[in-house]
Amino acid sequence: MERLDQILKLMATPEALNVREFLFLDKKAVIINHPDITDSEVVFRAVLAMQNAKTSDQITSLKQIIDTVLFSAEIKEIEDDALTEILLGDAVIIVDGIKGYLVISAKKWDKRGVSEPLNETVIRGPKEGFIEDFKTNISLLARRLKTPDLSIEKMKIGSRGNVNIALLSIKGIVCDKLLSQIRDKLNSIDVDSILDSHYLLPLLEPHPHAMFNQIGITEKPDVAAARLLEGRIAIIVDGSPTVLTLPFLLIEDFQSPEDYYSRSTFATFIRPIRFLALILAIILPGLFVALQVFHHNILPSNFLINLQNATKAIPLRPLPEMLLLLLLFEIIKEAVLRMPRAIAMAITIVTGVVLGEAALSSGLFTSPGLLITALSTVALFTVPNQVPVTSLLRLVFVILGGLFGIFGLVIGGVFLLVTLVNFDSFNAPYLAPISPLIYPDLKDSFYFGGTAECKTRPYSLPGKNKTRMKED
Amino acid sequence: MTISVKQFSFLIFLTMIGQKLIILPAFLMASSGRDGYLTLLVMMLLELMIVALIMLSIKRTDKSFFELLDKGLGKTGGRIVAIVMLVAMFVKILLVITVIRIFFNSIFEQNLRDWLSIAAVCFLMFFIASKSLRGIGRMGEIIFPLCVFASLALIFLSFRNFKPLNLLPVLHNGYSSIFSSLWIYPLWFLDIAIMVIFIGQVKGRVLVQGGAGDKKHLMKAGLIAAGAAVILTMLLSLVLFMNFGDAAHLLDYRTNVSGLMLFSRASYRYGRYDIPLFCLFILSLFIVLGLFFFSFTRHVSYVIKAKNHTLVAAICAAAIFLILLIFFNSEHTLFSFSINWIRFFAHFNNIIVPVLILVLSILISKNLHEKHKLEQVKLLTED
Amino acid sequence: MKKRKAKLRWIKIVVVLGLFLMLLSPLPVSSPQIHMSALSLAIGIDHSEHGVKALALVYLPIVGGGPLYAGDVVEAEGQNIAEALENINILLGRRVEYMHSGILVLGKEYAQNGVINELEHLVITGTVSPTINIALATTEDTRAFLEALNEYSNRMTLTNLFKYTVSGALSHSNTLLDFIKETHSASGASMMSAFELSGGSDAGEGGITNEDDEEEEIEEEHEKKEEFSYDVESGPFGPGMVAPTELDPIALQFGEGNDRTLIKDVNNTAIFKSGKLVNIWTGEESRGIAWVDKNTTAAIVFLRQTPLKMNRKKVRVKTNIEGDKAIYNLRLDIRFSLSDLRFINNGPLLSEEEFKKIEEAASLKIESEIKRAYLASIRDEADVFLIQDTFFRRNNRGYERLKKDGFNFLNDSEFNIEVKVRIS
Repeated sequence: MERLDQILKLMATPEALNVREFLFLDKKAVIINHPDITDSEVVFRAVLAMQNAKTSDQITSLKQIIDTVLFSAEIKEIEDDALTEILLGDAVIIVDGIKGYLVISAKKWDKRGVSEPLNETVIRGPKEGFIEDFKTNISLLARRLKTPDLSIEKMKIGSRGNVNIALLSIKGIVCDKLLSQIRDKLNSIDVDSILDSHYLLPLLEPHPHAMFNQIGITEKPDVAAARLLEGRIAIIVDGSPTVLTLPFLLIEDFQSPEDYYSRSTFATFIRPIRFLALILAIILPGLFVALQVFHHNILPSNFLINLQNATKAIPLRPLPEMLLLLLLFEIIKEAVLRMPRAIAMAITIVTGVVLGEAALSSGLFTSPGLLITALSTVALFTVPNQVPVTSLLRLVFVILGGLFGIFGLVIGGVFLLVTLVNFDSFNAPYLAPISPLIYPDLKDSFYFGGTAECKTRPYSLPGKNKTRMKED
Repeated sequence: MTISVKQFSFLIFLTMIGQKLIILPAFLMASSGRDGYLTLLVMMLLELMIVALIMLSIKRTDKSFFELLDKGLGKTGGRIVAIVMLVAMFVKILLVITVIRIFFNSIFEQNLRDWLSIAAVCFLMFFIASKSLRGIGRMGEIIFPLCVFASLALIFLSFRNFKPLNLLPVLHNGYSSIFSSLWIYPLWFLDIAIMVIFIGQVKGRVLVQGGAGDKKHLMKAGLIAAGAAVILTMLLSLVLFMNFGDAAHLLDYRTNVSGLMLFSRASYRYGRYDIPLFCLFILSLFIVLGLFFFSFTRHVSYVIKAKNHTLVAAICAAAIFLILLIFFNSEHTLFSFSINWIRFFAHFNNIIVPVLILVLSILISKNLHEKHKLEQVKLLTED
Repeated sequence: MKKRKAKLRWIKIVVVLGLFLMLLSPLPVSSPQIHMSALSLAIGIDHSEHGVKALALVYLPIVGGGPLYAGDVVEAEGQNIAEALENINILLGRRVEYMHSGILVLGKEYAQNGVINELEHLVITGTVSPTINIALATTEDTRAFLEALNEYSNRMTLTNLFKYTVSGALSHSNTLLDFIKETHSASGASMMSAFELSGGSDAGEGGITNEDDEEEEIEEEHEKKEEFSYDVESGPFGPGMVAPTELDPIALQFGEGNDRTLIKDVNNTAIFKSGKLVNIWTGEESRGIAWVDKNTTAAIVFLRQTPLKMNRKKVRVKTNIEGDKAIYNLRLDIRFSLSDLRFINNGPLLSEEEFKKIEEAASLKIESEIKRAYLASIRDEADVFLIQDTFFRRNNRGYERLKKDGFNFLNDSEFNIEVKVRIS
């Protein structure tokens, strides 16, 4: 069969495909599938159905076969590019004498179960998380948004990967202009493959070289659904448990799903603490160095005397000491991430107890310096998505504080502020609703007024139909 | 790029409170003694009037400041006015940079090299001015609550040093010292006149009809912001006049900030936590600097008809850096220069320009209205 | 686009390299390390032949820590205070942070020659905090005082002592700024706590006046004392109830064995006029001014053995100039609490009449103390009640007119005291 030969020729190893010839009425037919990623049961049933077909009508088209012979739920007719469907895990039937190819959905491979994502744990609320399977991820979202307005646009990206991408949005809420802009951008991507959703980040972001995130990420379907309901666009990538949402506002990283599942009073209490923790994490080491080097007159007398006693025996000046401590903590952080779990516990104890104690008694570091660095490192993780950015910023502020004192910190702070206020994520102001000040959106920013109070969708985001809840 | 009414009112507050507390009170104390606070009060009330004038102009017209100059005075006249304003703004920028340097060098006892501190500040102001006016407006929104918090905290901290009786007798040296200070120090106040650059740039963003974003609330919002700035500045500076008024010679402009706080609850024993609060407060000074430099570069672009504002900003920043380093390395030179003949440019900038702009905006909007009327009449008669 | 990317890449490289080079290069700023500076906990100023002698109780850092505030007393001389303090830095080989000092002690001889120049220098240059407590060492030189502070090993406690002496109406302590302001006021008189160390003459014995005038003055003082004292036999509560307070010296002892140092008395107040020491008042005399001080918040008045604890106090001053008369009305409203009734009656309650009698007795007692202080101020011609300054501020026009006519506000004003006591 010519069409079969064409398909097999394109394969590097044609033996990898399973080819089963059979007779359909009086015609030759063949079913081709990739045995490692298809369900052989489905293939068997399809072959059986076609072999045992008994009909008096003349079968001249594939549509007739679909209507009268095959009983698979997902079956479609294509004109070409059958190999792509085979590689995606479907089975393709070619009938001699009839144009076109029949594609039967027969995907089957091992996947891990839906479980709580390790990076976004909550005490209350749903504990499901996205996994690497494309269909499962879509189903997790579709289950939460049972509306005909949920738009799921599927496309394939990657000349060698043919990776399934889904672009999700809610019609009537999302900004159509933004949606078409993202769609065009995705369609224009010409790469070998996309192995994870993070590969898309530099390809989609308006400022790919900037330090700040411009696209949100989540591993939880409830979070993704909530963001869709606010007017954002979600992108699901086959093989990645992380879903992208855009536009992204900085305030999102301070909002935990826990805030919405517990009392709003507690959320109002905890959110400013997250802000404070992040600011402390960035500024505290630099401030500490600046005070030691330049500004003794600000410190209280008691503390100054203790600091003097502590620094007297240390060979390092405050700036190199703090840089060394930061480096040490980064090494520990990196090692903890990479080390095998079996020995992680033991190494953590050694690092925490021995290293800390030894570092102090060796006279290499001061205890206030160690304390400040530890506090700053822990505080960084109150906003985990911002850890890469804030780690770098922390380093910059330490250098500024050590070289130029509080003057350097203030200049650095103003510089950062100017950058952030002029930054945007797909035309949404990055610091909204703080700057520009948008009063209706403040209910879900520094404080949380409760889900009942959030009657409108964020005005910070482009989109239509801002009414979320009807007024009483 | 436009800003909202809210952002505009926050900027009014920050500009009014700006550099009034870092050095100016010490100068007023030296010239007017105990009654220096009255000079400050008169200055701020004048600023309140200028705010009202500018807001009336903004409400009257949607044309930008430069368009008003062109239409009202012609291209040559407009440029002459712009050049006079440029001179005043230039000295103002030098003063603000020097004040920032003094704040960090003296209060923090930080001996930064001159070229380094000037270069850092010049680069920052270039960075601010290279963005749009909208960016400055947004910065104002973030710095405003920090500044208010710092001001209120500082007032609370210094409350126990409030000794109103020390301000008596009022006007012991007569009125002349008050008005002479107004005449000598124009470059130190009436910064609010810079807001003329916002004419045509303030748009009401109406989320809810008739809400605070509406331009019709502009006057109310602006005056409230200006009034708050007056009250906070006066309360903050009063401690200084109450405690040093009788012995003004004890206060140097370098110890002005410490004098404002007089180590109330904060002290060397418990830690000078009033100083970090002042750091929050001084963020307003960076806004003032950014605004002035932005206005300066736009004026230069207008005069020389340049289109690349970023390039103009870079060149201006470099020029300011060199002039400050070479000619005004000592703050005494600059301070003496600022009370010299140059202050007449400041008087023009601070008082004449806002009045002129209001007149132009009235005339031009009147002309447009009449033109529109004539067109309507023409249409009717044609019908 | 490619060019722009390349340009951005180069900018990033330059910035990172620049930061790195800045770290490695000698820093563009110079700043001593924190442990290379010394903290001054107390400062002393004495007279010296060459000009001024400055002393500082400095804390030098100790590896591993040490007893807090155990320091060394360092002294240096100079033509003026600036030179003397700089010489201390040179002696120690490190920069001394004087801003952390809690106390500024002046030597008696130095105070007699005039203190204002040095003190103003310290404030103008920002060397010390304007709110530093200032005191006079009546005997020995300030070195002994600073060493005593060191022995006491906790300057905080001594700083707190200032607060308690004032709040307890024992003496009048002052901050440096207030001292200078009072000197420059229309009254020209100022005060500070005077601490007497062991081994010297008692304070109040004739003070600084000439020997010839001494006898006359003592006689005059006795006369006026009689005028303002109350007949102790016929006081409302019988003998001894309303006697003027005879204060025992309040002394501090610290150190051990033969090295014990004694601050003999903290009750006294040093009186200055135009920046020069004129007299040292005893505790009895000082108490009168302390009542008028708004910082007095916790005084105790003894009516025989019955203590009255002060709860609240309001001081109101009204001044009036009528023609050639200047009237100074001082009114105090004080609330006391009374709990120990053993020496008044045997019952748990007091009758209204008894209440009124106690209130009257307390009022009279406080009034007599104030009047005593007023007499002392006239004797020393030191307007410590700031009478002249009050008229200057509140009745400026009348003040200027009377001043032109040579009116002496301290001596010639009508000084009225009204003390109203309420007991709860």
